[in-house]
Amino acid sequence: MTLHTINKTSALALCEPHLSPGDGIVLLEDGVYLALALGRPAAAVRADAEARGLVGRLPADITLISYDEFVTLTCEADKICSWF
Amino acid sequence: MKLLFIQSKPPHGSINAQEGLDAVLMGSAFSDCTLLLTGEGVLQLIKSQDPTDLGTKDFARTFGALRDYGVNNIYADAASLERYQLSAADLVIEVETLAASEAAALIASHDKVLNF
Repeated sequence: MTLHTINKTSALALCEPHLSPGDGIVLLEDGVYLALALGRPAAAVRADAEARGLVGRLPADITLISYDEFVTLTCEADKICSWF
Repeated sequence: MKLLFIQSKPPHGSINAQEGLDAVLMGSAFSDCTLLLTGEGVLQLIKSQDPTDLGTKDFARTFGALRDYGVNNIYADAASLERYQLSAADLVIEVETLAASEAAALIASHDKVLNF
């Protein structure tokens, strides 16, 4: 399983064609804005979402995660693919 | 260890492209390296780039050396090439083109991915 990280909204177009079934997505920094209308399950870094006023506006398939949980996800993945 | 290097930035607006290419060359010294150019990264392959007046290195020439370093698997997204109207004759080296699903499979088949 590959964990894809996206740190700005423009990077989604790069990431999307490279997703395989079962891959995970973490949204961070300005990438958390994508959580508003991503249309698929993903994790978003809570500190970044809070800073941008997004908590409470996010769909049910977005999971807010702490930095510690972010680290755990990276450890569980076979590899990380960073889109920026 | 199979390493996949993904280049997705255009060549002269940031240091990413040059750094990525240097990293591929370093990686090739000790590992099996594959290069994928996607999105604006395919613009790195355009022939006849001349950054002389920018005062930066003409690193596009490095692509021609990749095979000498044992980097034989060089791919570009077909959709990205098409977006910028690039055909094989426009490119500094011969690359294998990939459909989106094939590019995703490429990531799955490597041990580590490094994005530039």
